Amino acid sequence: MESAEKLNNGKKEIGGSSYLNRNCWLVKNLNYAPYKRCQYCEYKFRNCLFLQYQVISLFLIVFIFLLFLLIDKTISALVVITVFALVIIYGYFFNNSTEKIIKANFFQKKAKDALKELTDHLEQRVGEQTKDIQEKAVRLEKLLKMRSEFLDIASHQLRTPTSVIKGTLSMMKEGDMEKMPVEEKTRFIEGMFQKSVKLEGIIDDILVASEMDTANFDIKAEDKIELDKFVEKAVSEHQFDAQEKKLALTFEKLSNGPFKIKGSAKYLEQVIDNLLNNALKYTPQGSISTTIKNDEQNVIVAVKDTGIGIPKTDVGKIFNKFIRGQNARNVYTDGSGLGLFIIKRVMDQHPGSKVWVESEEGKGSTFYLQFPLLK
Amino acid sequence: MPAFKILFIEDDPDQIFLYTTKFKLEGYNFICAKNGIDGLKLAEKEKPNLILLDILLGNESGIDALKNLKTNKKTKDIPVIVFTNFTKKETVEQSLALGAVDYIIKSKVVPSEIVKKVAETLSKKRVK
Ligand SMILES: Nc1ncnc2c1ncn2[C@@H]1O[C@H](COP(=O)(O)OP(=O)(O)O)[C@@H](O)[C@H]1O
Ligand SMILES: [Mg+2]
Repeated sequence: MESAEKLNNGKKEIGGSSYLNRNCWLVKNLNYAPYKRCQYCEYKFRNCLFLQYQVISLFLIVFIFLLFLLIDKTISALVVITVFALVIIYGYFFNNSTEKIIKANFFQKKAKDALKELTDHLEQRVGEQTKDIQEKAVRLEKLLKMRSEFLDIASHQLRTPTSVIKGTLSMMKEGDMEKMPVEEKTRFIEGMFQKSVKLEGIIDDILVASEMDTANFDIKAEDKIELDKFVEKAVSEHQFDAQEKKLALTFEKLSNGPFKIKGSAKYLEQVIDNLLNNALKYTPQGSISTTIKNDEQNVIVAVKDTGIGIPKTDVGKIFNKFIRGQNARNVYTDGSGLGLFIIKRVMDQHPGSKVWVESEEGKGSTFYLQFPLLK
Repeated sequence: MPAFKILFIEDDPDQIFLYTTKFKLEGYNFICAKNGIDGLKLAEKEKPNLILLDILLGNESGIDALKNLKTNKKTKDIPVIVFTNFTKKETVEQSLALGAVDYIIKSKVVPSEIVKKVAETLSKKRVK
């Protein structure tokens, strides 16, 4: 082993049993740093063919030298010549083939590395894409869930008035009405009529809301609107309903303007209509005052009523679809819970605009719409 | 024979009116509660023979009401028929798993049919 070490020009590696092989073809020809491990023969004598050859040669030289000293000179001369010839021939081929093996090993290793890098890269790419697809699938699933939730609730909303109408009609058909006092009959017919009106309203709301419920609902908020005139007109259209309920419905400008904004006239009409309808519906007595004002940046519309107000626990939810306030349901059965959802979705489509509510249960509510002023 | 007592947990006044009228015409003692909490209280106090329960009580879930009815010592043996227009599959399965004896869609049955269902459920209960 000692000779091997010498031949090696060896340097012991810390903690390792292998020796640096400076004669290694790789070390010499491929600028392998001497402190690096040879990756093919691992510097170990038993593994390095090239090194084995050198050691065998050394032993042979020593052996021949001994022969010279000890045995008959002519015999030893013959032996020496034969051995040297063998060594040279053997060495030539051996050297060549070692080099070839090491070279082949080297390129094989290189190819393997390249392939590994490629597969690693490919794996990473595939991984990234799988992640992307997974994310998309999750999003799609969420959308589908939203959709089916929408359908579940929408179908419930549609079935409810239908079941009352159908139920009443079947009782009429089966002769139950004859057994009833007149007031009950009237109540039944009145109920049926109201449910059919409700049914129609729900169908309209559902159509609009389902259009808005899609992720790519996008309205063109491009009309130039004089908001004061716009709101005033809507208010005047609700005067008849207000008078029927004996409610004072007013409109007032709290500042001098301008009140010009950019938006979708078609959808904003619906927004203001929904706000006024709610105020009328949820105000048993008192008044509804609509105001508009501006500052340097914004125009703010407020619809203030003296109605039933919104319980604190409901305030955070009422802009969600199909959500109706607890107190609202106790008093007014008609309503789809879509009005404020529609408002929110439309306002979200107006850049820089927002809607919010301030309310106290039992005292009243104020709904605000804010738009950036068009300069 | 004293009239059977039915408790109807439902928040829509028009439906309360419709089914109250029908069940009273058929000779039942029909009482109503507008939400799950009142429903449970009334069930404890009145000990009805059967409960008809809506699942979408506004923002409140009838599933919670069903859970409460089925875990309360005083009410757990009263048969509950879920009677609703909410058709979500999971809700149907969940209700039956929680111990509802039946899940009936309102718009699929006319009042006389639900009366019949109730009568059937009550007679089955008596045979047991
Ligand atoms: N002006 C108001 N006063 C009191 N409550 C209101 C008012 N406007 C809206 N709400 C509450 O918000 C809920 C949602 O309103 P909306 O989406 O328009 O549905 P709907 O009016 O059909 O119930 C109502 O059910 C009610 O509880
Ligand atoms: Mg509304």
